[in-house]
Amino acid sequence: MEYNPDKKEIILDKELSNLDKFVIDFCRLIDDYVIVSGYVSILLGRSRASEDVDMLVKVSNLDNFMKLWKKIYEAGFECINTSKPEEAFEMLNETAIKFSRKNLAVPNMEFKKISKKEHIYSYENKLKVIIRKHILFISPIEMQIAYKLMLGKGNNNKDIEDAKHLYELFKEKLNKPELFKLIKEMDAEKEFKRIE
Amino acid sequence: MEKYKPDLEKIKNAKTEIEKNLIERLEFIKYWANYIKTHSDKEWSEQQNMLINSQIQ
Repeated sequence: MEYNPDKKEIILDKELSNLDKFVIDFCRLIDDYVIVSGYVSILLGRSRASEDVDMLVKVSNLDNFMKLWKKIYEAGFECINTSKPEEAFEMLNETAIKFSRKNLAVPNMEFKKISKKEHIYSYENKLKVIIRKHILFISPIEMQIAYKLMLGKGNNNKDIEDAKHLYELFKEKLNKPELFKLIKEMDAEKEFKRIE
Repeated sequence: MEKYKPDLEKIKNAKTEIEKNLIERLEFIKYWANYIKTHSDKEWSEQQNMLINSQIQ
């Protein structure tokens, strides 16, 4: 695994898991997205699985969403919340919608509209991951660590462990001032002490 | 292969069983991250995939 922070690029030569294949197949249908949360740690080696993958997407209007919906269905995926794209588009204003391969519930892609400040940060600073001939875009490592520590405030060990994995893996190459700024913004200094 | 040597001092100082369990898990994550750094992508991902593919079809 090679991480080049200046190029915002990670090169991976890993064997693809079934989860990686699902994510790659789905992501090739989407133009503007960034993957966030647990799958970022899993893609980068964390020894756990996940039933869902979180994806933040730029969704501008219903017309574009309908085109995307058609493309997703034609590729063999379906929305497990509703079969009506108009209803799914409405739901996106409040919550994530989930897509899976037809007739399967897991794994699924949690498709979320970019709306919050941290979403915009992740999208604008995304990293390109080259896995053999495939490309995925993921949230920057510093944001992932800070965000996972924030989630870990409720004693959610899985999130603390994801943060620890990324921190140990990349600590020599992290932008430390940026990391500490994000941790402070998320009020997660106490949690950071647990993984240092 | 390098042996897994958790920080026994940290484990000993845990105040509760819950904290002890988390420290033990974090110590192993540190070891695994180091394994990834010192082995080829193929080597670590084959092991990771045994775990993931047993759960995800």
